[in-house]
Amino acid sequence: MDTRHTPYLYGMTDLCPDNVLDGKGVIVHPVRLGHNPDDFSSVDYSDRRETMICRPQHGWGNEGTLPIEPYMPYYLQRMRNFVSGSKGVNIWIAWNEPNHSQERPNGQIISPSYAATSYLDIRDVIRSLPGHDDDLVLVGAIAPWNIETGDWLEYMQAVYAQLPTAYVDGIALHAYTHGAHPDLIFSMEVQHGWLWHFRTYQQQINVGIPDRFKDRPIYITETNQGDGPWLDYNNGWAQNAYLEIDDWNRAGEPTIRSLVLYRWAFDQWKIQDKDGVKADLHTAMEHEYTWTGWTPPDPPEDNMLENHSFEGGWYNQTPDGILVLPEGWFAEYQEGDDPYKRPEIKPNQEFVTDGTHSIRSFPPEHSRAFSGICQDVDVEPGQWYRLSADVRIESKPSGELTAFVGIQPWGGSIFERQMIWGKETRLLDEFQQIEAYVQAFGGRIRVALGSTNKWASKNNTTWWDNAKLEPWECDGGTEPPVDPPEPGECSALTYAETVAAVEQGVKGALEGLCIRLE
Amino acid sequence: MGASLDSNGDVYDLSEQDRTLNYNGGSYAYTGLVPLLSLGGGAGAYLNRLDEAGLDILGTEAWIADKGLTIGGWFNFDRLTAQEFLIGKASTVAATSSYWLSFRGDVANDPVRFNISDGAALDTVDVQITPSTSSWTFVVGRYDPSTEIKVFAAQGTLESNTNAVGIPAALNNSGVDFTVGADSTGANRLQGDVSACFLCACRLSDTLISSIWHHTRALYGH
Repeated sequence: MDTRHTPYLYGMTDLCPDNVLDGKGVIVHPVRLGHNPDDFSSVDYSDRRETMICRPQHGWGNEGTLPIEPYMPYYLQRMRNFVSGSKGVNIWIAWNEPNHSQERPNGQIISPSYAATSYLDIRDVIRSLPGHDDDLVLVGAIAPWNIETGDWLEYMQAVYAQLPTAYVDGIALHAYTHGAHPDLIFSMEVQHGWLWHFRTYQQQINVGIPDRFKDRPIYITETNQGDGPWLDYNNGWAQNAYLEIDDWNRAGEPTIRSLVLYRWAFDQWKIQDKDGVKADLHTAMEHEYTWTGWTPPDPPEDNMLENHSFEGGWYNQTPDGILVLPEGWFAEYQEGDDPYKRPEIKPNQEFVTDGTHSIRSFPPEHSRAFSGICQDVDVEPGQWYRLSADVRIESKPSGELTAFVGIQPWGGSIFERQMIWGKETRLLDEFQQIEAYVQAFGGRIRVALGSTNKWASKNNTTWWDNAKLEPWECDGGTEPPVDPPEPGECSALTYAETVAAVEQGVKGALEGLCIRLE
Repeated sequence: MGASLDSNGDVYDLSEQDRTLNYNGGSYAYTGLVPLLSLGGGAGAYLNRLDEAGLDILGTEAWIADKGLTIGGWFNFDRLTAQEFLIGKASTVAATSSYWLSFRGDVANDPVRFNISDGAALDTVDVQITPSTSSWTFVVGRYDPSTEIKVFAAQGTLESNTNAVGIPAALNNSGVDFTVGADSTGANRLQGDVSACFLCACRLSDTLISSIWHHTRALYGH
């Protein structure tokens, strides 16, 4: 992730007060440059907490978003002056809606070729400047549904067709509804062959932009309720819009980094005096939608483990390559004192139950090992948790290899006496799910997938896959269950019994029981 | 014109007009995926084609809508101290010259220069670049009759400069050879590499010239 970039989807056009976005989003700031090459005026966003996106353009209205061709060298010099002097911004939009008649210089049509080469020239100027060689210069948005310069979607295709793949940093889109009803966000209504409401963004991405650019960041830099002013009512329009983009990102589609409301001030779409719209935005912001972390998608919400199926990459825990762990996990093992030796842990694709990878753990031949594959998880103290995982073991000749999962309810090492292991298994040569139920005593617990072999036989291998940690509702009970408890069921050990049991520090002592503080 | 090369160093144009450029001797080399001719700067190390009607571009051609001339290519300079003829039709004397591009390592700030002649006087326009012996430079000159001459050069960004004073209505119809890498007398030889040269009997727009730069730059390390 680009660390200078906010992870939040929220955004506003114009320099709104700080408390509107509370630092969680982007600001799009349109700026008129003109083409005086001796003009060195610039902008300073150093005090802004949001990520700034500047949209410099030649002028407003009949001045044109771009100058006519003879003025372009002067405009580029003006751009050079402006970017050189500006502070607090590294994302730029090259131009705005060149297919719209209101953006034409002196009424002169801006062709797709002119828009494309202007983008490339502007990008060259910006990225040639010291401190800006890694800036994002976005291809500006095409005005959706506009036919003043021909079919807008064909115009968009023509612009992108003339852009070399290596010279595009990112993409700006505009998407609106034709009306204020919040359901229009999800509308698939088609008119004139075009998606007619907010989901025009999907048509633009799927049809307007060539596949070769779909790995570039996408920003929806303008959105509102369409042709008229905002309806001053918290009707969920903004909430639906941000939900829609969050769903899109979660589905693994080309990532949209921002959805920017148009606009805070100045024209009929201004929001600054509309408390209903602001309330809608702030309700949407309570969800804290972000664009990061969805490629690959995060684990399902009910699984608290990172990289739970071991599909998210691997790393060497030790320089010698003996311990290769999935990202987010680490190994603890006993070593040095007989009889235990350090195990080997490696990715495996031979035996899996979910995805394409599992973890394979085994001691050196004719050795014993006692180890756990661990992850620390922030939890709510006092909450019960269920840990489960699929395990397959192989032991030839039999070394009485056992596997078990467990939780260290205070955090810390799995070899400390507070560690609670679930019921062990010795089932050979097929996967089974095993589990443990433990109450968190601190704000962070350590979960572990453990194994040990009693005898130093030749082959004692354990495969792990599909681990899961989830909150467990445990309302109390009177008798320790023989079988793993159902939701709402738990053991009736007193706190003293619990402490006594924990203090035994013996693997399997609690064997899948719930423990409840009284 | 473009280029494909044979083992003699001759260059074949890609416009399907069969305007083969002849190599005149001396050391040369060509390497890489992109056709380029590496000229050693020695005697005869340049390309030429004898005068012919198709190369006598005056800027008055009746069949051309956007009248004028545009000439250019990619060049990599091995030395930065001499006057080097890049491409055109000239002897560097006004009476026998027509249009050409040159690199002026012999004058301050090492400009790239576009030169034209109406047979009586020369007009020139310079653009400053920061030439390097280790990187390619994109160079274009454009003649717009009675209006301006303009030169473009690019390494990181496309720079340009214009001369709009006293621009003639037509170019001189010179009888000298069209040459690449040396003037028509074989002097002012380029020591360096040449690739993707072109000559158009029309005025290409700024946008199209910029587009050529952006669509070829990746081949030349920019």
